Order: sequence, then structure tokens, then C-alpha cells
Amino acid sequence: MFERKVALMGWAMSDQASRIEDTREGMIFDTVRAALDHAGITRESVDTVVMCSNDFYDGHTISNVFTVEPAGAYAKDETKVEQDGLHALLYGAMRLASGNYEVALVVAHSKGSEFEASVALAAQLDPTYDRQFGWFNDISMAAFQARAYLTRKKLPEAVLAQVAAKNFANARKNPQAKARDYAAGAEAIARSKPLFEPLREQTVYPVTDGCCVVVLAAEPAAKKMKRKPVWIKGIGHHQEAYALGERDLSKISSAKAAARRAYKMAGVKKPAAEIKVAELSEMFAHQELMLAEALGLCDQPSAAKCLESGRFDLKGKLPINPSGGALAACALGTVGLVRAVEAAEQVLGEAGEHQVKGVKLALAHGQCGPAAQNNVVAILGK
Amino acid sequence: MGEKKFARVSSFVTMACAWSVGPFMDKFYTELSQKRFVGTRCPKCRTTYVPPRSLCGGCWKPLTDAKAWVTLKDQGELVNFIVAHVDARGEALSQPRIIGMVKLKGGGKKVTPVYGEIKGVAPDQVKIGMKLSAVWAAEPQGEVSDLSHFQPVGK
Amino acid sequence: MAEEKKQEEKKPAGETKTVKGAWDVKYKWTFRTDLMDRYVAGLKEKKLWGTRCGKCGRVFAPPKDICGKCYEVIEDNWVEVKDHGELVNYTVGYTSITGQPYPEPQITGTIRFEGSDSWVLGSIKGVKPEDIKVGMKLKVVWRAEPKGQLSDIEYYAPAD
Repeated sequence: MFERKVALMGWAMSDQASRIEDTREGMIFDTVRAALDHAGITRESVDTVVMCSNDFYDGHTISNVFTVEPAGAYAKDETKVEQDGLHALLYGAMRLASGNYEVALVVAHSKGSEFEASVALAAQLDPTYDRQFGWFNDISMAAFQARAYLTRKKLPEAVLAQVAAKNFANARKNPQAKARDYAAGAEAIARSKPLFEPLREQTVYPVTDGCCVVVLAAEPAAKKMKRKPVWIKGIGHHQEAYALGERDLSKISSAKAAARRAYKMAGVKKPAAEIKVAELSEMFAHQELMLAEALGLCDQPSAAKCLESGRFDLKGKLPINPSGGALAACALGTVGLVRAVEAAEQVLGEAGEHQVKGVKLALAHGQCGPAAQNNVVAILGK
Repeated sequence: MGEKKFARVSSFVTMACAWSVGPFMDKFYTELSQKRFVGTRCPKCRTTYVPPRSLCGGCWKPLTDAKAWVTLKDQGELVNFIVAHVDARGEALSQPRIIGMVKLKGGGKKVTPVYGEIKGVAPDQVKIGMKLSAVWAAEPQGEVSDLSHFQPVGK
Repeated sequence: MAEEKKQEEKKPAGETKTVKGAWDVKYKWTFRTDLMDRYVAGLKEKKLWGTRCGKCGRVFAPPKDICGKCYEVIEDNWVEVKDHGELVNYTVGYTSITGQPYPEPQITGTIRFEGSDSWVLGSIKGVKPEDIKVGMKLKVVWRAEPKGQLSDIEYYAPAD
């Protein structure tokens, strides 16, 4: 691990709803205040604030100038990450591990109801070739990945609907997931509106509004705070090539590499046995299966067979996304941080109706980039 | 406490951009206007990049030597495909279109695929591995649309 | 072959093909209206309202919902500030932000109303650029018949 241990000492999440009736600043203020209360501290104790937001999503360049005050960062060291909430957590943890700071606030937010996600995400693609076609955004890119995976593993498209159905059922137990009709079963999901086949509306993340905040503390400060620490036992970050044509799209090699680094740091030798629950950022249904394989969470070569056997169910041997995951609710840019909060609650037994029994180690995953080009994996424990 | 009130304000942020494609893509588009596909090949790992790259991503070797350039055939095989019902903005298409990744012949074993629409075959008949040939636009302009589409060989 | 040569001759050395595109996204921002509604209603009566932080005592006019320093909600704590104050800062503009020349130099400044701790941006008239001084006393020049709009403050002029 880092030379100084870092722990999640408090957190808060807004609803992950299709629309939150509030300004961005109002949503952030309420969520940050709730996280500080949860951790039992005031903003006086915070040394550094790591924002996670995206100018495209917000519609302002350097959009974090407007969020400084509501995020509690007035006259404080404030910085910003434009990837995923779990990258922001990694950055915050590194700032604490450096010894330069004791307490960090990590604040991820976006309001999907206020911008056109497809258009903003299409802008991440290479303008000299990919963008010239007018066909490509993050969904169509991921659709190629889905096809590559289903082809190599000889799986029917129906397996995607099964992943979504499991996560929707879990979302029904998650009071903060309010983004879609979670009553839909696999058959209805498989018939939902096709976008870029094999991906359909219900096997693709729903865009929501949301804010997620985590209070991180380095060991000396953590020991002085009121709540039990959830330590970052291990964390890894890896990225692969940009161009889809340069990647083996049937695997997520950067997720595997990120996990390997995290497991090594955490001293995890047999993830399939030692990880008791995994919160993955499955922006598209096929990615949950691919990630389960890349992260070594399966007890047989086929993640689809594991899914079928119930291994990843809420009551299974290794539940994946008991919160419902990104398929249940997705405020872009917050997803990996929400996974970290869900994983932390599992570790402390605070996950309510979707609690998994006997969690010693929980895994949280975040991603960004076309077809999960860039991945972060964190192992959390007591 | 007073009641909070909100209003939605619509806005449209638009910025016209004009990107300089650089010498490698410039040559790609010039050749495309001549109904030819070109790429660059890494002398170490023998990967042929189409469109061409100036650097091999895996080996970190510069591909700036004139000898790195490869002209590929305008035939190849389908390695991946999706069926689009909406466009990049999410707006519905009048009819679904098949978009493929095609590995062109003439670049050796390791060639990165190009994108292209697949026509002349129904979506449920598309097979990965099928042999395709390029159909060119009547008047190529040096743009991606110079490649009109791919169709099954023998059509 | 000849066509190829023509294409290559068109471009000056070192320049490559340009592809066009646009970054165009529609936004639907959420704005909070109740605080500014009350401020603007005050303008109709030639009154200026702000909100005050109970902890540090700072007053913000126009009103803010939170005090960032104290991290407190201050939106319930309304106070009136005077319609005159001092010039904090200024600049003399000779062209608009799009580069159109002004017929006469335009002075834009930040003004702190008496009783407020924050500043507003406004147009300053009735004083020549060479006579303007930071700290000088200014007053609001109100529209003759205020309508309850931000433009009820027409500009700022030297206080007599």
C-alpha cells in the first residue's frame, strides 16, 4: 500500500434520478454538507478538495469555478479531475499518501437532464477520422466491444438482458436509484428499443442527475474521526490504446492490469474467493461480464455461466452490483465514486436492504474512455 | 424559509472547429481520393496501421520512414459490426444501417481495421469473416465518404 | 496523375488537410429564481436588497444563498443596502467585447453599495476617464419609472 494508509471516513449521495429539481450548486452543497456531517467533521478539517466534473457536461469552461463555494472549497486547495469519480478518489488518496494533506473531500457531479450526453460523449472521439462518419459516440463504440465479446464467447444477445434484469432487480432495493422502470424483466429488456445492436436502450446506462461525495483521511487523521475507517487496501489504474482497431475488444486488458496492481497492493491472491462483493461500473450490460472475467471474479472461465448459476446474484457467492450498478443509475462522472461508496457500505454492514453478508473485502471499479479504455480498481476493507 | 424556485434556461453552445489532420492523415485522404487505402507498418511488430500512424503504439517506434507506407487492397474481411438505429447524436435513422470494421488485404497478418457501412446484405445475414470489397463514391473528395460502402465479394 | 499533382500543388508546404466539425451541444440549465426575483422586485421600489451571513456579518448584494467562507445558508437573512457607494475598480473601454469601436470611451466599474461587502459591475457615466478615481463616491441613477427589472439601474454617476 501507500506509505500512509488512506480511508473513506464518510460519504453522501444525492438521489440518482432522471432529474433533480435543483441547481448544480444547490445539489452539491446539500450533498457535501451531508458527507461532512456523516464523517462528523466541518469543512475546517478539509485540506484539499478534488472535484470530478466535465466542462462539456456542465456547459461552462473551467466549470469548477462555480462549484468552489458550495463544495466547501472556499480558500482551500481545490483541484479537478475530468474522468470518473474513482479517478478522483485515486487522486485524492494520492494527495493524502504524499504526506502533504490529511483530509480530502472528493466531489463528483453531473446533471444529465441539462445536456445531450450522446453529443458530449461523441466529442471524446478522434476528430480527424472517427468523428467524420457521424455514426460514432460512446454507445456505438461499446457496441463493437459487445459484438466482439459475444462472438468470441459464442453467447446469444439475450445474455445482455439477463445482466440488466439482475441489476434492475437489485435497484428495486436501492432507495436512491430512481432512473428507470426497474420492473422490466429480461424478456422486456431484450425487446427494448435498439440503439446500436447488440446494444439496446435497457442494456445501456440511463443518464441521470447526481452528486456523490467522499471524505478521505490519512491514517493519523482517520484515527481521530468518529466513524470506523474503510481502508483503501489496494488501488490500480491502467489505460489501453484509443483506437478500437488496435485493441482486442473481446477483453478489457486495462481492467485486468489495474486489478492486478490493486490485488498485489492489497495482498489478494485469490480474488474469486477473497472478494466478497464487487461494485462495477458496467455502463453497458456486456461490460459486467467482461469485467468479471478481467478482474478474476469468476469460478469458471465463462462469466455468463457464473451469471446463470446465480453466483453474481444478491444472494450468490460473489454478488456483483447489489446497488444496481450503472445500468440502474448513472450520473456521468460519478459512477465509480458511487461504486466506492456502495462498496464501503458493504464493508461496514451499512448497505441496508442490499447488504451482502460477511464482507471483509469489497471491490469498486470505475472507467472512462471509449469501450472502457481506462480503468481504476480499488479494494476496500476494514 | 422561503420556497426555492427554479427556471430552466435553454442554450446552445456551438463552436465551429477546423482540425489540421497532419501529414499522415493528409496522405491517407489524398490516397482515398484516388480510391486507394494506405497505412504505415511497424518494422518491429509488423502491425500495419490503417489509417496510418506516425508511431507504433505498442513498440513506440516512429513510422516516419518512406518505407513504412503500405498500399492495401480495397478488399478485405469483416471483423466486427453493429447495426445502427440512431446516429451519433441519438436521432433515429430512417432505416437501420450496418457499420463494420473491415480488415483490408495486403497489409500482412496484423492490420488495423477501417470503418465502413456494409450494404448488400441483410442485418441478420451478416457474418464475421465474410469477404467484402469496397465501393467507391463516383467523385471522391478526399473525405471518409469517398468510401461509399463495402459489399459482399461477388455482388 | 495530373489531378493528384494539382491537389498537392494547392497546399503550401507544411500545411495539411483540414477537417471541419462543430462542438454543438444543447443545454437546459437550471437557475434559481426566487432570490433574484426578490432583488428585482426591490428595484421597482428603488430599493437594493442583499443577504447577510449571521456568522461573519458579510452582506452580499445582489443576494447569495450561501456564505462560502462560513459554509452557512444565508438566504433567509435579508438586509437593505444603500443606493450609493464607492468605486472599487474600473476600466475604460474603447471597443466592445467583439471589437466594435465605441464612439466614446465607456467606463465600466465595480461598485460597492454602502452596507454591502460585495461588488456589482456597472456602467459609469458623468465623469471623464481622466477624472475617475478608485474610492470615489457614486450613486445609482434610477430609471424614472422603475419596472422591476435589472435595467431599472440605468448607470452609476458621481454622488454630489
